[in-house]
Amino acid sequence: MTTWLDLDERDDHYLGLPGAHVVATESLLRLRDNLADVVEARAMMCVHGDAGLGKTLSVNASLRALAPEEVCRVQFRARPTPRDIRHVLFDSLALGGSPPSRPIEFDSLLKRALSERPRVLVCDEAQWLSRECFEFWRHLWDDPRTDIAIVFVGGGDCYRVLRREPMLSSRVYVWQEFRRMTLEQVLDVIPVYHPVWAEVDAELIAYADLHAAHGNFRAWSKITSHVQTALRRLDRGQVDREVLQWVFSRLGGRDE
Amino acid sequence: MDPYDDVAVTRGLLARNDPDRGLLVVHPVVSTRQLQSLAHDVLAALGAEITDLKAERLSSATRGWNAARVWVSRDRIRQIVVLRAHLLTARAWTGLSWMADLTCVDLLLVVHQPDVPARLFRQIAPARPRILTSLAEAITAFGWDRWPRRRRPLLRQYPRLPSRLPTGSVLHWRADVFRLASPAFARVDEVYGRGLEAACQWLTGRDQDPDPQAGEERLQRLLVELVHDAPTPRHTLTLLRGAQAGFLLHGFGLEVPSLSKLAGPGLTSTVMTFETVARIRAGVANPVLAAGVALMLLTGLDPQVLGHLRPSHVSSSAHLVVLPFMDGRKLGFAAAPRFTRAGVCIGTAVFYVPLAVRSLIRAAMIYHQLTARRGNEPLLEPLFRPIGKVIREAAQRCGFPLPEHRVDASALWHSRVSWGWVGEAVHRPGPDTPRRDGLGCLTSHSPAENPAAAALVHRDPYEHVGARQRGTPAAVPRLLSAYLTGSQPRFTPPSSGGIVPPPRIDGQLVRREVAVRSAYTPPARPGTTSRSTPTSCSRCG
Repeated sequence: MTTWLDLDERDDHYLGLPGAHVVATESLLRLRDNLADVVEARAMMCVHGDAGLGKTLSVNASLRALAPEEVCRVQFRARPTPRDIRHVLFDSLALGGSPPSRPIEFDSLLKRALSERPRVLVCDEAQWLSRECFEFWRHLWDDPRTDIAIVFVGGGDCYRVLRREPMLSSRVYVWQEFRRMTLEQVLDVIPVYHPVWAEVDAELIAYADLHAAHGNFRAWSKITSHVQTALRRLDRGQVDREVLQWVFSRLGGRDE
Repeated sequence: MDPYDDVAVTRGLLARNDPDRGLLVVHPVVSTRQLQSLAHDVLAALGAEITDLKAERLSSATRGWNAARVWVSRDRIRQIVVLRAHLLTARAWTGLSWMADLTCVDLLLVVHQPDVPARLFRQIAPARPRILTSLAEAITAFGWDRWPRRRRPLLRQYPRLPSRLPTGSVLHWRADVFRLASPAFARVDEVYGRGLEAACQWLTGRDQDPDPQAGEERLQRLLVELVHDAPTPRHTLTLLRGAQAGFLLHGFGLEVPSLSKLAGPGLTSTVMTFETVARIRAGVANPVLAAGVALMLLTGLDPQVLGHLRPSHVSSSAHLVVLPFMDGRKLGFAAAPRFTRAGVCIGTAVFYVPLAVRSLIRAAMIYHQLTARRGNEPLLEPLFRPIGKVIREAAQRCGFPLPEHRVDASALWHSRVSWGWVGEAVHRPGPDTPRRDGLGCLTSHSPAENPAAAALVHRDPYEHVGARQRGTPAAVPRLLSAYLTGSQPRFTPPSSGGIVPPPRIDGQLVRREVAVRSAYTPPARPGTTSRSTPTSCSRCG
């Protein structure tokens, strides 16, 4: 089984884009500070925002720097049950033997494992969790024996879902929202993000953002991947408007 | 009421979970089968690590609630706080209220939302609940922090003994210690004095008509109670030699087999403290299984033997367990030399149950009553099979090392002890005998004050023979007499089997008087030849 620590930093990037860098955006820097506080306080945190804004990448990159040995990342299929969470945690924590069949036995085992050393549990796609699932997380976190911080990472609905649960809204230490990059941020960040944009004219980057990326990091990642292909196929050394139009044609973006 | 589901309320209550004070805080797990899981939550709150309910035979709701009821009752829980009460199903509430009614505990239900759910309110309304709106109010109302903790009696402390001690006969054991382990003599002698004192107290307190056969169980009880908390086999040996000396002073020979190859209390058993019991409770939730682990540790027996233990073998106050010997084959003993007829009880082994373990045994008895089909069916075996494997696994869960060798009942030292009259008692009750606190009999005086106390110097050349006959060991009076007169003991060479036949005149057994050199001379009795008696003991003077 692949654990979080086995994953290369490149795997954090969408499509594992070769050559891409983690750029210290304002959101990422703020997240790193927040996570440091949350890990120290063994608290709960909610990172929310629209899809593709770099929440998961930022959390992974920050935790890789802050507490690489403590992180246990869990991700579920749609609409998980507490049973699913127990099993995913059982695998993520690399507990030996076969998983217990009864909730009390399972929880007892998990609590014992989570009390052995500090852990940071990262629960991605938290917007899919039901009330019972949140109750389960709360149960683990409230137990005096466990020594855990929990980071919920979720899409647009995550904030609403978590706020709806008083058990969590009273326990979440830090809420952080990820927003789309403004044009100024894009012009600062994208040339550093990947070498193909390093020498590109700012006007051209703004053009790509306006017509396809819309300040969304995942869209920029996708565009960059296609740009690399286009440069290879069109035998170009530099990104120009023609290359971008070839890329837009693949993305379903509109031509000018 | 915790309207905002404040973490401070939950954590504040969980931090107060203290079964020792009588307060239990139940934190229910998320489960779709709340009737079962809530019972297990109660067990978890009591301190048990719930890891294998199937192996503990606690999977079903009935057994789970019965176990919870037994522990709550035995631990004298006064109040149970149930968190997340707004999520309780009707069935879970039924189980909880059933247990609360039977054990007479108060319930504090914590509702972590602004209103009490209607279905819960309907269920609790007949009890006219009192509503508290904050943790501070609850703390003030119940005063949990002022509830007294259960007081636990202190254990008897033992001094550290030398790594090697003589193993010879009681007649010269103390002198051997004085000679071989002189710097540590005082420490050994303190332990020796405890054994002697216990024997003197027992002999002066028993019925005047000594009946060694009838008193066998009582004798075992004396000895196992004496050594039950001995930290090492050396302490056990010292205590037993002291008890033997006490018996001799009262005119009785106490025959104790060589302990080197035997087992049982004080040798292969574990000293049962409250910490030991807490470890058992933390690893085992089933009351009967917890008692099984405790009995394995305190008896030092192979758990297979315990499978035949029945409720009738446990005294009403749970301070004694009397395990009968039955047919060796039937019980699966490796060796059973004393058993002659199949299926017939021909002997018993008595075990003293320390105070710390009694609550476990009582809990097991109650649980057995609640779950057994027949009243006197074996305590452990119908529920747990194979009993040996189950108990061993449970002991491992509790972190106890398993015994290296399987010990069956035929190897128990205390089932082989016997005693008999050997001569006139040299201790006599005196009305105004001064007593030095904590010391008894010969140990009341240091060897420097009374050299006679440590001067049992003659070694029995035939001590390895061992008198296996019941009644008076023939060598004892002669040895004592020889020692007291300062002459060399004269022995008839041992006959076949190593047993020296006692001297007889006209077919009558001749017993010699026991006499010990001492400053105190008892009043002369017609027809006796005793010349002196030893120094005083606390009871006899």
